[in-house]
Amino acid sequence: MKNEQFDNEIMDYLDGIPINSNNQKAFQQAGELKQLLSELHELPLGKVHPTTDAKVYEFIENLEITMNTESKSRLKLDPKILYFTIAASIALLFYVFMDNNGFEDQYRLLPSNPEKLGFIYDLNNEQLDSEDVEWLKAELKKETHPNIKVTIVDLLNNYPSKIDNDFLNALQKEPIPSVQMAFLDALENSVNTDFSNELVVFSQRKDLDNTVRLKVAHILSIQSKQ
Amino acid sequence: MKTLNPILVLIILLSIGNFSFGQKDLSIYSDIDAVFVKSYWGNINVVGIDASNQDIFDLEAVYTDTLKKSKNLRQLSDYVSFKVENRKLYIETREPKGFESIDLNLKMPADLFLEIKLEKGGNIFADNMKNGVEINILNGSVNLERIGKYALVNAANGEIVANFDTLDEGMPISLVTMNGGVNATLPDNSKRDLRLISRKNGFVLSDFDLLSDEKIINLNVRQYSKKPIINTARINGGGALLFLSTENGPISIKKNRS
Repeated sequence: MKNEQFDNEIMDYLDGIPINSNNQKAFQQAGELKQLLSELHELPLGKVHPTTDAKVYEFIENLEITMNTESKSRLKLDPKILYFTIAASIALLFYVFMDNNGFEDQYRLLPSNPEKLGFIYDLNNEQLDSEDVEWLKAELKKETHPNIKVTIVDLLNNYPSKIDNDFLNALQKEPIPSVQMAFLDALENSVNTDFSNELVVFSQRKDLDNTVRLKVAHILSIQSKQ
Repeated sequence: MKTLNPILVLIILLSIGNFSFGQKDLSIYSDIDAVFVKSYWGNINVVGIDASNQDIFDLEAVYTDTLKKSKNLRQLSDYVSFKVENRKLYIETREPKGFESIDLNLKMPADLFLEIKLEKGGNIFADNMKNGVEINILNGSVNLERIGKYALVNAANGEIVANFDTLDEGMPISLVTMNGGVNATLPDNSKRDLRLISRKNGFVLSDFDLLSDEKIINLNVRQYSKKPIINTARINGGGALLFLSTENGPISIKKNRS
């Protein structure tokens, strides 16, 4: 009974109702939870990865099952443990959300071209996983600023897995000569992949700059010797 | 009472016409943060006007037809359009009919952000723009003087020269061309992370000490390299990005000592 009152007081306090009790422990724990909640409100919004979503639901389900089992077995849970469990689960959620927020979500929040460009360049100091590399290749098709695209291609040069259909499709759609050239420089350095068919298609575009056209011919001649 | 000479009156009227209609007053667009200029063929000259003369905000346009006859445009409406969206003034020339070109001479407040897109060809000159510039040009050179904050410039065929007198040390500079040299002049206390790419016919001239893990080919040697020069380096300990890239040509990084 005493524990129920303790719980109710804390919940009321979190809902904004003042606590009448003189229970200092309740005040302290409620204060800590309120602080944690306010910090959570300040977290950036981002779409949660489906895997993370599934993990969170699984975690909540397990928690409910555990709590139901405990209430059926009439074992009284020490409120301290209960609140530590809640705090730990919130901390876990915080960790999981932050860990999966990813570079893409951070990039989306940037308001200007120079900030985006600087962010992409700083990724040279990070170890990108395959999902990040996929996102960057997709970004080559979405992004409109040529200098940002050149910076992305320069970054992708560090990842041998960059050359695939997405990368070649991005080249096919690219209108700016200096960006096309950055793509071609990346292709020139990837000697183990045969992309000559795609390059032939690209070379048939009517709007190509002469320098670009010469570069394509040069790469095709290298490919034909391999 | 003396009568006025009709020829004199005509000359006066023509003179007034030339001066009053040869340029468009843009000071009505006072509530903006940025100016975007889009053109096809022709030179674009932009001069930033300091706060003490903020009332000067105007545009002159010179039209050259397919027979290379040029004229100052008294009425711009058939050639240049203006609109404001999201506090940005869009100045766009019409799509060319044949090989016509329109030169634009713009005087605008120096504290506005400037963006230029030159779709076909011409040269771009901008002076005293203090709130950053972004430029995209196909054929022609870009010459930037007394620029502030940052610059992102992309060219295909043409040299890029950018002289900065103040910088936002948190913002990157990116100057990328395909054919032509890249020259950046920075305040001498600038701290930058440098990315250098000169794929052929390049060398690197630098007033700054460049701290690089790998040797920079032809650093301060005026000799065209047959090998690509691709390096990362730091200037004054490093900072925001300075990305200088050309497919074909040298790179220079100078100190602005003024």
